[in-house]
Amino acid sequence: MAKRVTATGPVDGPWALPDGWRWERIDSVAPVNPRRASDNLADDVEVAFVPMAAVTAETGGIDVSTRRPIASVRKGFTRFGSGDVIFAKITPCMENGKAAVVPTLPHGVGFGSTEFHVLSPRDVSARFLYHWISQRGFRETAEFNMTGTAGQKRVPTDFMRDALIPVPPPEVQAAIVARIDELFAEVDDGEAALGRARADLATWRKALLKAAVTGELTADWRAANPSVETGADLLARILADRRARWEAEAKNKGKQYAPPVAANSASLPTLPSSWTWGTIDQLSTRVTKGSSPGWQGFEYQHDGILFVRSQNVGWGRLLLDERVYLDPGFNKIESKAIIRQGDVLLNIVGASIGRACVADGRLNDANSNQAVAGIRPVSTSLSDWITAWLVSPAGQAAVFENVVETARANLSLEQVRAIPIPLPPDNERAAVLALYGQSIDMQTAMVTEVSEQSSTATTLRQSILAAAFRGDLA
Amino acid sequence: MNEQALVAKVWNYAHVLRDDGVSYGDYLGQISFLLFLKMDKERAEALGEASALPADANWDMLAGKAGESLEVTYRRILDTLSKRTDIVGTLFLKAENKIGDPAKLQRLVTLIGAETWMGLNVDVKGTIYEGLLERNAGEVKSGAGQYFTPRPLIDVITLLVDPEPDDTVHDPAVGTGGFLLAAYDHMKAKPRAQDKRVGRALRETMLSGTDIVAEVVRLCAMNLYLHGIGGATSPVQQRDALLDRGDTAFDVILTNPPFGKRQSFRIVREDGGIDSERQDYVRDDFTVTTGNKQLNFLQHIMSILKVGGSAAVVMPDNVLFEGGAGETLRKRLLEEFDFHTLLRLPTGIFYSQGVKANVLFFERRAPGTGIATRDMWVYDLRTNQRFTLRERPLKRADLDDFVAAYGTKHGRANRQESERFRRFGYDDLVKRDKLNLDLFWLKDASATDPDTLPPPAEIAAEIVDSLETALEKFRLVASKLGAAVV
Repeated sequence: MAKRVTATGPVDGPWALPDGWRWERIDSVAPVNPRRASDNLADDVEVAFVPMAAVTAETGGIDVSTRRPIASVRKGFTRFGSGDVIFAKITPCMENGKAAVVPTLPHGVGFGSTEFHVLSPRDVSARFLYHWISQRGFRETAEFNMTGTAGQKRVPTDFMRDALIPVPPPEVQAAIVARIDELFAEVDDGEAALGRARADLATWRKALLKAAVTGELTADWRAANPSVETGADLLARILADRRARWEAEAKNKGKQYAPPVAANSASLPTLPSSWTWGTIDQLSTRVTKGSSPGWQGFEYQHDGILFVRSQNVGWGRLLLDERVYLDPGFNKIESKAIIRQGDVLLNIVGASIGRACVADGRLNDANSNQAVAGIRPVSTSLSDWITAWLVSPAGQAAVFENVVETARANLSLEQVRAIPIPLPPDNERAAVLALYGQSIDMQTAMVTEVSEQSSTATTLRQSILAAAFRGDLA
Repeated sequence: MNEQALVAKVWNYAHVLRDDGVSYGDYLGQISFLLFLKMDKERAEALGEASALPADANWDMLAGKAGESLEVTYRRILDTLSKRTDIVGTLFLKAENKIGDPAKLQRLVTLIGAETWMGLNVDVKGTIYEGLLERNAGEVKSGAGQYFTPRPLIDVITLLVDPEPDDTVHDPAVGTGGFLLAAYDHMKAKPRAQDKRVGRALRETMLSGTDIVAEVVRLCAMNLYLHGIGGATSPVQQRDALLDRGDTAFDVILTNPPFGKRQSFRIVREDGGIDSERQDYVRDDFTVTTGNKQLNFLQHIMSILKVGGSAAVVMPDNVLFEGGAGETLRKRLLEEFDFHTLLRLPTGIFYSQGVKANVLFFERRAPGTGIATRDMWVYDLRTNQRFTLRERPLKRADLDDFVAAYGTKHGRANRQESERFRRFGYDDLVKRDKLNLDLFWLKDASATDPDTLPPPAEIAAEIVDSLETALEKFRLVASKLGAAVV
């Protein structure tokens, strides 16, 4: 570590610098917004033009490929030269870190947004200066010193001129910049890896769901647990149960039982041999939807019965942040659409069409509008499975199979009933959901991990810079 | 016994021994030794050739023995032969008996002894051997990062690089010799190889390779030997290719270097904890000093390739996008070598789930002739292509389109762009941030088409891989700052 001396020389700075370094005002080593001599270029000469959007926040990326005739930009835009450092002064660009070193420009001159301060390095290397002012700490101080009315706050030129910068000897500056770049490259690579992990985590979720509902996830389980009862057996039991319930209802006395629509296995993907294809109709005693309260003369209120709309149905979970209620009288009118715990809700209209989730205890005696279909399974033990299937990629494909792709027209209840659904043996179903749940927990934990590591990366960059300017990065 | 039955028999015995704790790898080793002893005897008897072995260390010493006597003799023979310095020494490199039960050893000796192996089609021996090698590869954990290159890929790479019988062909990470064998078959079929001297040189001197693992070198030497390749000394040597460039440059290099991240070794500190020291290879002929094994292999290959020579190298994705040393090396590769073709390989073709790799095809240009790479052609065999080792293995047919697109080795000017084949000019490449050559343009349908979703295990492996990379990088930086390790 270099020897420390208390800062001597022109200016006292906030911390002790190594031998050979000195604190300076930025303006002394890199004049801020200096006056310039005439550019002496013909009016039609094309020069680089840099709007605010051409500078990437945090990374120092700058796009100088846009050209304008110099006559059109001399007035009304800020001028800078090759090797200058530009620094956004207005909120929120400054806080976001929009700053860059200007690369070599054709004709040596360029113009850009007036919201840039221009620093023209003399006794300090451009990249060294750039790293200094890109630090979070510098930006925070700058933000504190902003002036102007709300929404138009800017960093004043005087602040930039008077702000201090530690200045090492030139060869040390070059070495420091090289070290920073080297370490930043490692952090970049790490962040790129995190980006890949993030994308893969989303794909993993989908793939897990697909594996769950197609039997891939429980392939090993099946090998270890030969089934006593097959999916087909289970379906037969369910159908019998369904019929029995139908016949038990008083209103059906004397009526003819209409068997539910069956799946056309021949046209569906192959399942493991112990599984079978069923339909929503076969697995449910009722598929209905509600109606618009307005039609019935009701208005939303703050209490009463909970009224479910499509924004309440997420991908496999209830979204109850936005709730509306209706007078309980609505349930007397739309009694057939009253929701019970264990019902599967499916959006059949609008932008969120295809989302599905299970109604929990909070939705007992709730009702819904015509955008949300309610599927009442023959047994609530089937609710989670039906939902998992509906929201899985394969399930979504099945849901929308009969719908014109581009129009994403609404789903009719008939179409909902006809949705095919794979059915594993009873005990395997529990195993699938358990395995899937475990994997999802892992996935969630990893998403958190990735997020934490992202923060680490950001902190690391600042640590690198801090070490650099203390003279600790040799 | 007919050949099919023989193959089956050898395989079945592998299983028997496996249950006894003898891995496929060890089984292969033992078969190699016994086969060589037997074939040497057959050669001496049937062809009147001089035996390569001394009288007290040959097949006759084993035949007829049993029990402990057999085991002791076997071990002595192995020990004697392992000390030789010629091809026999390589074939018996670090040889040891791995069959604990003398009864089983005797059965194996009987099995080998009952056949006349010289008379067998070379292909049969090769099939048996390579079949076991494949099984072995499936079992070996990726400690050294060795990945068995799929046969169809080896064949296609060799076909396209198109070595001639007069070319020297080298593999610095030879493994079990897949590339050398493919090159041999390819070169032997050329008319020029009919010439007796050319044919002999091809068998004995044109092919060479090194590997860092002794057991693997032994298997490779035996594999080549069974195919009739090799002379007085072994074409393959045990050595760490990265230590120095050696004395020779080669016309053709075909290789799949080991994957795996930084090369490092562990040391135990005074307080008993373990530190990981990065092993950087420092060489004059290297462009960058780095612990990254793949970058080091790439610059080693660049160093031992003759001017005008061609290389085809299997490398993982990170060589194409890693910054710092990676960027510097890519710059040199584009400037001094004609990096004309990049094949993006699909996932699911190697033994480790989710490995993302490529084949880099390049030629060395004479210095002082300007930027060597004018165009780089990229073939995307990865997007929306998913293979698995068992259910959907990579077949030659899957590579047909690439072969057609690649064209002949001197006919690159006739190449045409297609859906999966695109040309990138040097000027465009050099503008890319960090000279990132991780080029894709096709849309990944797995976002919308559930059928193209990879198996969950594969994705999970990639995630773990990415997280480990990220963690490692951050730790590295933090340690350089002297901060507490994250």
